[in-house]
Amino acid sequence: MVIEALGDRGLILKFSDEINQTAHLSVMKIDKFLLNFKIEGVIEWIPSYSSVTLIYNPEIIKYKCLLEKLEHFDESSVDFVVEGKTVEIPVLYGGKFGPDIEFVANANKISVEDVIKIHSGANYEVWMIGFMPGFPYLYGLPSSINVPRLKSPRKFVPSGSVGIAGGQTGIYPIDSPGGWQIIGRTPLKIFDVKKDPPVLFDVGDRVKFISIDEKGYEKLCR
Amino acid sequence: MMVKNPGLLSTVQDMGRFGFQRYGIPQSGPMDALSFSIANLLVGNDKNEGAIEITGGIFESIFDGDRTIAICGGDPVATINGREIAPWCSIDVKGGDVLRLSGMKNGFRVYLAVGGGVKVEKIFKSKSTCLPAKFGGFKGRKLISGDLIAFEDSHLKVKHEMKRVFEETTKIRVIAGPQWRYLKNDGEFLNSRYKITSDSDRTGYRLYGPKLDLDRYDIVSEGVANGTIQVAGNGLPIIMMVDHQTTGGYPKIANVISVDIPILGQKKPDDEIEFQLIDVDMARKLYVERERWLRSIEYDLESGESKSYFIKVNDAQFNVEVKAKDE
Repeated sequence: MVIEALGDRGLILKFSDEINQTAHLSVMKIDKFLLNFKIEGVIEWIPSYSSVTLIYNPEIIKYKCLLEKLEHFDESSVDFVVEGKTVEIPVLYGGKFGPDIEFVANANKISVEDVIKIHSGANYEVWMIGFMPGFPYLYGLPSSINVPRLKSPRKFVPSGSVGIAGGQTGIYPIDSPGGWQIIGRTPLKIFDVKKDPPVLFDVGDRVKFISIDEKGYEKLCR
Repeated sequence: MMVKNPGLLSTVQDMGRFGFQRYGIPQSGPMDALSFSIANLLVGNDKNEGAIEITGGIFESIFDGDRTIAICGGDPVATINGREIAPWCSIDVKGGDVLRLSGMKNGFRVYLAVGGGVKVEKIFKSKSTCLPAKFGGFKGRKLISGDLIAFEDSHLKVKHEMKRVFEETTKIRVIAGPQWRYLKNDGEFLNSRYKITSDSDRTGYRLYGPKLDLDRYDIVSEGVANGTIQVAGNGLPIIMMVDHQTTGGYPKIANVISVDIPILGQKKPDDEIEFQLIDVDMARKLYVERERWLRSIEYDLESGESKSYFIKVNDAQFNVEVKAKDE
């Protein structure tokens, strides 16, 4: 673990410069460590692919004291059993809700049905939430349906849209501009300000997409 | 209070929303936290209370009853019923009084604090407006003409006035970021002037100036902080401001120090800034000193004492006087 300063009130705990499962497991372990030990002066932290960005108050805890406490973190001491819950996301694939699904099929020389089968057949894990409130970066996209980002991003992507880009899949929790290839839409509310926590899933949770038809979509909207 | 003219952008903010960045929710809060805090203190509020951030110095509202207000941040031109009023002090208003801000002599963001604080529902422990996700603050949006703003009960005892805190400066101090070593022309970064472009807002300042040459322009995405300076593929720096995305995938070459973020918050498009590299220990020390200074003001305002304060902003000593106002 390498610790780097990020401004005078932040630091980054880095486990690798690349995306890999070993580094992400370490991220999950230190996330649990920080949750359990509640170090005074630590305001919050953001787990990501291979590092954790931590924000603290230097008035409450001196940088050196914080470093000492963080250096106590011993991966082997965290009995890490996978506790992440599995969240099922119903998706209506293709049609007007998934305008890019044919592009994904053509680019990978497979049928639209195959894209749906492969995307909904895989197991994903939330590795980071960022970009916008509740946007999950999901690890586990099969390379057989991978595509690059759109050449020019859309000005408007409706909330619930499921996208693929650069080896990842994700869900747009709110209406926003966006550059991912959209293959379907979920009727579920991913981000809800009336709930705490506000997002359906947390970093470390498993995600499974379930293909539904229009009737199923309408039923869930009600 | 009814908003008659919200100007360019007016939003309800408190000190920000903490603990939700892991869900992608930005902290939000004031762009100039120092002026914001002092505005609140001058009307007897907790320094984190809900107040209104006014962008560009154009604003008009009419009060519905007896209130105490303070206007802080930069140097605005302000009147009540057409009579000029001084910023940085507590002022009494009555029902029907019209507050008008008609521009800035200096700076860009003004805070209107009202005794008691803006009364809005807290969402995720904060009154701040989250513009990117349209929640919090007043109905999750910027203020528009006709909005009726309610306030909590006031508990102000003594009124105060204060001399302005900031001196105009272009110098912004930074510390090296995690990817500083990627930067090949650090001399260019530290010895040039960068212009804040019109494509800048509460999420970030996009700068224009000499292009920066980096070993690489993409890294694995990870959490960023207020004041983080990222360099995009076009070689131009972007400074993350209060509504910034919680994660970013561009190299983080530097970070603006906490005490200079309020100075940055008073900059407007076309203003120029220059960076000065300092040591991280010094940056932390300056932050702790600033917080202590703010607390001593808080204490003295509560006890009604009159006193002079000294604050160092960019090595220049300023005399700031806080005293009980003569009625």
